Amino acid sequence: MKKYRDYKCIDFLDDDSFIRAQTTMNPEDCALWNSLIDNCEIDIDEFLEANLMLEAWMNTQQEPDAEQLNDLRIKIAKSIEQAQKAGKRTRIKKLLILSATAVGTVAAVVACLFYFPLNNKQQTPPSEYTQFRIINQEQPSDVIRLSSGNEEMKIDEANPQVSYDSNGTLKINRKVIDLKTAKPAATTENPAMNRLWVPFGKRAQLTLSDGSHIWINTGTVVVYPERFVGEAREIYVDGEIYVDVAKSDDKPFIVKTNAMEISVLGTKFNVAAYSRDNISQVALVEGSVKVRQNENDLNLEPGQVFTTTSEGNSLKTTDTEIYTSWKNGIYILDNEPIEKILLKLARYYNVTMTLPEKESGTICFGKLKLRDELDPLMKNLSQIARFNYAVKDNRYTIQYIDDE
Amino acid sequence: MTHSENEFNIELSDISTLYNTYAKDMYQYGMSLCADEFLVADAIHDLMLDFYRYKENFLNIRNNKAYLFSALRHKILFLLKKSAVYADINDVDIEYLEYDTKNEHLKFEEKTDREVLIREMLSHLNQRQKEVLFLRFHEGMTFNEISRIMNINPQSVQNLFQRTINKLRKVFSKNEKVQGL
Repeated sequence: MKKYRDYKCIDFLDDDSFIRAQTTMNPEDCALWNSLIDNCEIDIDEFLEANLMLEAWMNTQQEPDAEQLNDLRIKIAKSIEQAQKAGKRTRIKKLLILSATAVGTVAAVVACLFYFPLNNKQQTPPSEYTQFRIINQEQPSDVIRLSSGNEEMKIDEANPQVSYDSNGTLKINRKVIDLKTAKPAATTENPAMNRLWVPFGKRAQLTLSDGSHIWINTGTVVVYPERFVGEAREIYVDGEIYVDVAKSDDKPFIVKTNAMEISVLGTKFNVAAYSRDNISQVALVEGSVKVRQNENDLNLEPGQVFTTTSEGNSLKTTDTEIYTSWKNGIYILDNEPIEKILLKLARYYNVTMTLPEKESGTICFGKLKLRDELDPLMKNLSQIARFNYAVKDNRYTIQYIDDE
Repeated sequence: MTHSENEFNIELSDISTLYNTYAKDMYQYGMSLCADEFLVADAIHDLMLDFYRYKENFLNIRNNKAYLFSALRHKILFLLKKSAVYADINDVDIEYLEYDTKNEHLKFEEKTDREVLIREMLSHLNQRQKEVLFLRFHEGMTFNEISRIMNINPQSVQNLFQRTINKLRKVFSKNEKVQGL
């Protein structure tokens, strides 16, 4: 009879069922551990320590970056095409460009993140933002779209890399793209503005012509010029981005959202400003930023988070990691109710979740690794946070398990 | 695929699907074997090309990840021998590869005490021990599955794993003593 009660951290790591539960997340093993936890038959601190050790081990595994995998995929396709030509084949097949969707197998430790409550109250946006806001309310779509003037192209990948060099040449996942427009020469009054739409369920990365790098979260539109001309570098955002701004001594980088304007010379920060939400936030990681809101200016220091809602503003100093980890596909939180987690997942994966009226009272903490598919995540989460769910056509219905 | 196997011809799309599904795991497994990302990429490339050329190999691996890993391991050992740098991966202690600092902004950047501790632990392990940890922790494979991939009998796998865990235990308890726990 196994002495689970005496299990220390290392004993969990040595246990077949524990490893299976964490890596493959099969129902039987998860159920076993859940029941041991519920009945207080194990030392929960040691258990969590083992979880976190395993997670830490996972983190030390070098992850290949998307670019490497993509380069390799292209190299393989080329070699195969050559082999085809060299020939055993009589049929000639077109080279298919497929999107790389890596299936993650890393276990998810219980966790969640803020979901900003939907609220119809909106602040009055500054007038120059108005045109941009109208653009954002156009028809929804499932696919990432890049548009410039009248030209628009769809991007099929779930997390593409869009970049502009100092001449304004566009590359998507390292391939040069010509949008085939006769574009007017960029002047100070009229720089060629592009729009990148990232719908719910997708993400993207964008490198601007000055070298600034932007991680774009789900449900976000970014409007930016192909080349920065003039006295400042300006972009518009509705949604959430994390930006690593290229340093410039004289040209400030300005992010305009409906709630506020953020200007910097060179720094790293996260801004969440979905126009449909009641709350907008700026989290500064490094460097310094100036936030302008309703004629007021505020300078932020690293580690500060500025929050603005229709009720007022607040500033706090905290670990900014929880605001930025999404760019690496990880959500962190302290003590969030399961309701907020589920709503956040609904937004991230672009599904609907119907929750019971009465709150479950379940609070979670830790980290959640986002995968391409919501389903394995829901399976794991439902075991740990104690709920059942039914899914049909991207609509999830949740029911809390009553333990009485 | 609904072709009958006789008429089945492997197409680029089959290889693409295979690659897309397993690329990341193959890469990470390969790195647990030899810490040379270019060699690992070459091995994966050559492997995919083999699968395109040899129908039987492809049909064998299609739903069998363990078989895929086994084939990749073979390929990596072959390339290592060819490069005449190492005689046999089992004989060699390869240093744990430090983070690639160029790609830091793409990786999860938390450096907790735990992570420092794990890295310290891993520096005490040899390549075989790291491989067995990968197959166990990352892939959740059983000793039987691991034995087929590593080409050693299940009992040896268990011993190897046990010794690895014991080594980690030592580092753990040393750390606890230091922390006055």
